[in-house]
Amino acid sequence: MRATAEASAPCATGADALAAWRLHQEPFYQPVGDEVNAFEAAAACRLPVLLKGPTGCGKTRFVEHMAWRLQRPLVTVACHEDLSAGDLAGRWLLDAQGTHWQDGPLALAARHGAVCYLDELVEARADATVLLHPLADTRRVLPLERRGELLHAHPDFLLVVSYNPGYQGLHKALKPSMRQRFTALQFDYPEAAQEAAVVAREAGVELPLAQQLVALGQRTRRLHDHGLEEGASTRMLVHAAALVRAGLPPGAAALQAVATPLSDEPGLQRTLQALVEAVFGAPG
Amino acid sequence: MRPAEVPIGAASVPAGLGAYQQALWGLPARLVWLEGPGGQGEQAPVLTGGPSGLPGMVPTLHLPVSVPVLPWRWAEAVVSHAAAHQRFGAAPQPRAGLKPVQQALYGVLEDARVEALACAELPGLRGLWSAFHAGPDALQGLGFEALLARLARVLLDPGWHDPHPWVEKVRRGVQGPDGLGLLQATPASLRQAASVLGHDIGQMRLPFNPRSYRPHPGYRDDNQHLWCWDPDLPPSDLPLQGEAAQGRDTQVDLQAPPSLQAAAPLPSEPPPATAPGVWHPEWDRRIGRYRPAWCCVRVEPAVPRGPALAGFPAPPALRAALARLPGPRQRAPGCAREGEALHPAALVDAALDLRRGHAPDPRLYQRQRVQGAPLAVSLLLDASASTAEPGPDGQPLLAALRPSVAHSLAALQALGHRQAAWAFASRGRLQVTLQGLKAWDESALAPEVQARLAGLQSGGSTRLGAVLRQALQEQLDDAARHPGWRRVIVLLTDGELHDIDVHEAGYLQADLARACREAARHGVAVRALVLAPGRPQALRPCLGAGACAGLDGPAQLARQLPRLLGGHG
Repeated sequence: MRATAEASAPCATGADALAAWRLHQEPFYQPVGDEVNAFEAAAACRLPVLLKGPTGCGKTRFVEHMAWRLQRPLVTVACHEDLSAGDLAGRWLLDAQGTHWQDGPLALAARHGAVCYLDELVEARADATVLLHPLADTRRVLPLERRGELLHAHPDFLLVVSYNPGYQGLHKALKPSMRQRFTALQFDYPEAAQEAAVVAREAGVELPLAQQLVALGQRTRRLHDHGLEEGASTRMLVHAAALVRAGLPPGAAALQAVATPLSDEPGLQRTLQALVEAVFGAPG
Repeated sequence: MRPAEVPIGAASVPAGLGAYQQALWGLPARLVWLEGPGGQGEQAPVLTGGPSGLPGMVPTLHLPVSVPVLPWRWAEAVVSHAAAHQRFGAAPQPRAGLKPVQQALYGVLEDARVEALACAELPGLRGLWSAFHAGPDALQGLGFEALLARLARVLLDPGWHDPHPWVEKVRRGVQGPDGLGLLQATPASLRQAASVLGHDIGQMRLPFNPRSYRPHPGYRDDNQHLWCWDPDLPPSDLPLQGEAAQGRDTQVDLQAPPSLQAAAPLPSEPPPATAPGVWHPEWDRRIGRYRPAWCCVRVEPAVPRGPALAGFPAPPALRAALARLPGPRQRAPGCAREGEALHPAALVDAALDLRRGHAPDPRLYQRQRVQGAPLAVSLLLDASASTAEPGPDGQPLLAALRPSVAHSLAALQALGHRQAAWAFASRGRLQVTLQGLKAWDESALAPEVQARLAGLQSGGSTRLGAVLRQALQEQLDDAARHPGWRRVIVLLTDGELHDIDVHEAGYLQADLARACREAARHGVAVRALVLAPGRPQALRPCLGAGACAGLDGPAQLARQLPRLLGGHG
């Protein structure tokens, strides 16, 4: 197996191979603690970062913001149960001239020095997660066995993964061998005032409306013990606010963006609708 | 669309109301039916346990059943009003110094104060409550109770004007010139106001019967929780036995129907010498180590007492939901459009096509094997004494669990998964019992299996750690014979851990958590379906947040079981 660096990259064409992955505007992110400093310290030490937290609480936005702060491209992969090692590392393709190798997103980020963000890593297949082991420790290498290449990661390469401890499929817990390679940051929904500011800023609505939506969101999160897997995320509240901005009455927007998507169970639907009415009043 | 009425007569108040109550301000409360004397006029809801509850006592809202139907919006108004008392109410006060007229007035003012604070957070509640202050049922007239009802309306609805001078005087007095007085008022200031303004109306010599008085409108509770206990007062609507009926005490209730008496714990008996058990360790959190060979688990076949359960095969919804899980599928050789590795023969064919000027077949990769082995599921059914208590549909929990187990087994079998089932109970650490309902290689539809399920009876306690260790052993034995299956143990239980020789809170939970970790080390997942009125959070500290789900009834099985087996939905 031959070792390669960026100079011999199979896809390097002279142009910026990661141009499409660069961020040109600062993504808005409202820090809730010391997570920015913590992430920058991990990046300086080239330590991989694990982000834990419920869905829609700002993990992805945080990574986008940090990639922009670090002035590095961001390669994002949404992991799923069919995501294989080949999907991350790359594969041979056939064209008129014969076969050629195409880097997968992980190899692309490692070769050219990007932040690679694997969203919901536990959903990926086992062979995909094992691929990360040598890349996430001090070796910082990615074996591309099908190509016969041992890819040494670029100094700017940073591995970031996220997962939601609140719901994990059967046999899908993060294994200690993977967990212990990462530094970790715990995320949660911001406290009410901060979350309202985020909703108002993201959707471009007045703060009082955002506060009402946050009041609704907080109440849906109390339904966890009544069978609701996860309450309304900040993202959902932003969606509701955006619908109001588009002209919908607040109650109708909250039903469409929050109450109706959250659950299919009739009892929970009834409760969610009652909560929307408690905040915004009954329709009509 | 929401249903228009709350079903009365169910063994417990619909879970949606309880969820609504807890979601409003995150405060715990039980909702139960108020079992008062029927046919004696309308009853008011009753809130016991005080606004924030007495130490060790969960506040309880008792909903009246003396009305023909409970409209959902009325029930929501009752629940949200009580929740406002819980959230914004104060400690009970002594009645001394206030006459009944002043006490009734104080109740109206305190109701208005907590509702104003609630509306400041949740403005939609004003519309919910206001609807019951207006309309044909609203009290009218110049009697004392009618004036209180008119005052209640004008204090809730800032857009409503009442011409009565006393009502207007009270409104101005408590709301102030800026209309914000109620938000800043305290129970002490309202008591002072009630004292003064009540004296005014007392001068009008209006008749008032404190024994028959109940706050208006009807969604408001009887406000007894505002006052310190007074032995001289007329009795509340609340029957004392209502509390006990909701309890989870496993003692024999001599007043209970014969069917419940039969389900009470049996007296302890030593294990028969002919049925030696399997000894398992148990984790003792006080000493931080295992007690070796501490629990004796007997595995014995359940006695088939037929008749077999009806209702097979499994409901289509359950089977369809389980069919989405990874299962035994055919591995198909050949080519695919996407894959990990190129298919050599397809490459040759593609090269030939290209040389001939033809478009090559896009299926150039080796077809991938389907991921995910099928499941080997152990269903462990709780047969302890508490499963004799009525569930949400009024029938004993065990009766509700039986078809759930039978349907699950049938659906899993039809989809090619391995399955086995046991019922468990314990009578101390030396008598933990697993009754075999269905062996691994037995058909789920066999009459013997159905007869064993039908013959199952409640009795004993719940010692889940030992049960889980034995179930793990059964799984590992089967894994030695049938490797390659993804193994999972599913507990169907009411979630109440208890045994007759354990008196330390949290002991059995700590042991269960240990047993779950032992299973995880062997690659066996543990999941729990907690049947209402049990709550899944009781087991979450032991099994993990994503490993427990509630089950309000068998109808939810199609939704919850696949979620537990396959992960999040």
